[in-house]
Amino acid sequence: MIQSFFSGLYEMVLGRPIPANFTNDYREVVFPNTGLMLFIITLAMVIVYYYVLNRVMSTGLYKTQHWVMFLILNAIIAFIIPITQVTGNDIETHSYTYMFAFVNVVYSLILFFVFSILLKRGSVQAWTTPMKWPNKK
Amino acid sequence: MLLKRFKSKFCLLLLCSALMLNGCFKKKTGDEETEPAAATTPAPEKKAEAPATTTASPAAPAKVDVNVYLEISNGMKGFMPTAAAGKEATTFQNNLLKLISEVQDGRYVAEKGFYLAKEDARSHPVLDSVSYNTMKNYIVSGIKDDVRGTPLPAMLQAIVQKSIDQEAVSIIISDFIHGPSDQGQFISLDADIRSSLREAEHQGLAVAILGNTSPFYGTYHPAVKKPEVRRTLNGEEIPYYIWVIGPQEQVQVVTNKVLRNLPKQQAYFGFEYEAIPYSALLKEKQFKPEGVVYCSSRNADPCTGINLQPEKNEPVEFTIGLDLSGLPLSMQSIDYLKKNLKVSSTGSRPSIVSVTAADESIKATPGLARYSHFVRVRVPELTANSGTISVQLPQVTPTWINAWSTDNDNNPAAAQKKTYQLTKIIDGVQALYRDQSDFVFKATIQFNKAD
Repeated sequence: MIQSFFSGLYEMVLGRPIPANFTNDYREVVFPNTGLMLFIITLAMVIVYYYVLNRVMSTGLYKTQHWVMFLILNAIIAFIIPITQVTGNDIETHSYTYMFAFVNVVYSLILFFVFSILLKRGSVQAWTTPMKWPNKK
Repeated sequence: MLLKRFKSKFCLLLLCSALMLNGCFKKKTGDEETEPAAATTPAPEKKAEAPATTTASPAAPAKVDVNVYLEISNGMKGFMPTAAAGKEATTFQNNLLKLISEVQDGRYVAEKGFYLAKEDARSHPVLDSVSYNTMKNYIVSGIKDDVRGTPLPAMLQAIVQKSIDQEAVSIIISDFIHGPSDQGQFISLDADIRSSLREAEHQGLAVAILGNTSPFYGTYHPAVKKPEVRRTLNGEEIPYYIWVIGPQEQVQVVTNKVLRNLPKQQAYFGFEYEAIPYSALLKEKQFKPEGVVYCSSRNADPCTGINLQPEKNEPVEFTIGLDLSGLPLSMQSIDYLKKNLKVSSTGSRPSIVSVTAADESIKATPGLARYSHFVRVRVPELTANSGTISVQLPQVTPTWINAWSTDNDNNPAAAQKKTYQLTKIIDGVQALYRDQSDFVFKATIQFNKAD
């Protein structure tokens, strides 16, 4: 289930894996692993930003520029993971691999934003970062 | 107070996410991914299984029992002229001496027997059990007996029966010129040969026929008696044959390890390999596939099921690795395979692109070293969503048999290297095994249309 969900998520944008002989490696290992890690790492980054740095520790990193720094950090991680996944599974690298990493970056931006919107209300200092909407106070 | 409660709550959350992350990272590596799968099946057992499948299904015996039958009719005398100082031995003598010495003293032969095949006054075959030295003397100093003809089918039948009783492999050396007392028997030669070997086929024995020639000195007795009843030859090349009859694996021990240097002219009947190791090679750098094709199971080794999806301008091409090292050497030759290997399919229209043998660099590559031959297959289109693609080697009669056969052997000097009605003799053998199996081996790959 998870396998086909993540395969569908990436292949929707990228098309069939290339080179085709590694299709099953992508579908059974690389896509689900990358997708799961994307979810979990992005969630962890958002939690760290809003709840650790801007609630428990009160570090003062509440400005939008700080939020953007975390967004970019998360995007970099999201770019590296697919590539390590592909090389780590002895799959031949191809331009497809880098397109895949790029798509993963785009997904990471979207996810980071969505998680921020959902979780920022629990933060003390950063509940208006990156913007006030949809919270009202 | 409130802050403290939150603090502990978030510590818990952090701990949870840390644990999750940890688990995720662990799962990431490819090796560990495969571990659960390996753990469900006992790993050592799997390893032990692998080499077992790579060898020919019934393990080749280390030693075999051998009976050597040398036909000593008058027609054979010319192969074994009396030795004299300064006179070179014939090819026949050299080869035969090597052969019987290998049988007598070689490490691959357990029990051995030497027999002189001749006929009695009433044209019944007689098999005289002799010692190694006696047979050696016959080969070196010639045949002193006076044996008129060779009732070929009767002789074969007697030999096969004896070897079956003794559970030995028969090595029969003869010129295979049929010499019946009644000339009418020539017409039914193929049927007679078939009957004579019926028991061998019945017992699941295989036949290997090796054709060779040797200079012939002396009186030649052609099967066709007109215009000359006999001719005196002085070094013309006359064919003689070595037939090896026995269980397939034992025949191969004899041909590969006892006879060793086989002549080019080889024919095999009743040979079948049910479990040759093979695999579709889809991830090997040396055999990159083309088009959309991948193994149905990610870690399958060997891979015998594939998914593919040929497009109009992008046909699928992939390589199948085969281990044919168990086959007779002549069948392993690239020329032979190129000529005879076929690919058939249900649900697609494949064709063979190339056949190659493993070279040194492939032999040095782990994972590929176990395959001796590589067949590249092209699939331009599918006609069904699933089906099979089979690479198979049909049972074919070698071309040399026609070239070595003649309908008139009266003047061997004019047409050398020919045996009277060899095709008929071989037809008889072939008829025997015709219905047994159509293929020497068959490697079948299942396929599904890729989604």
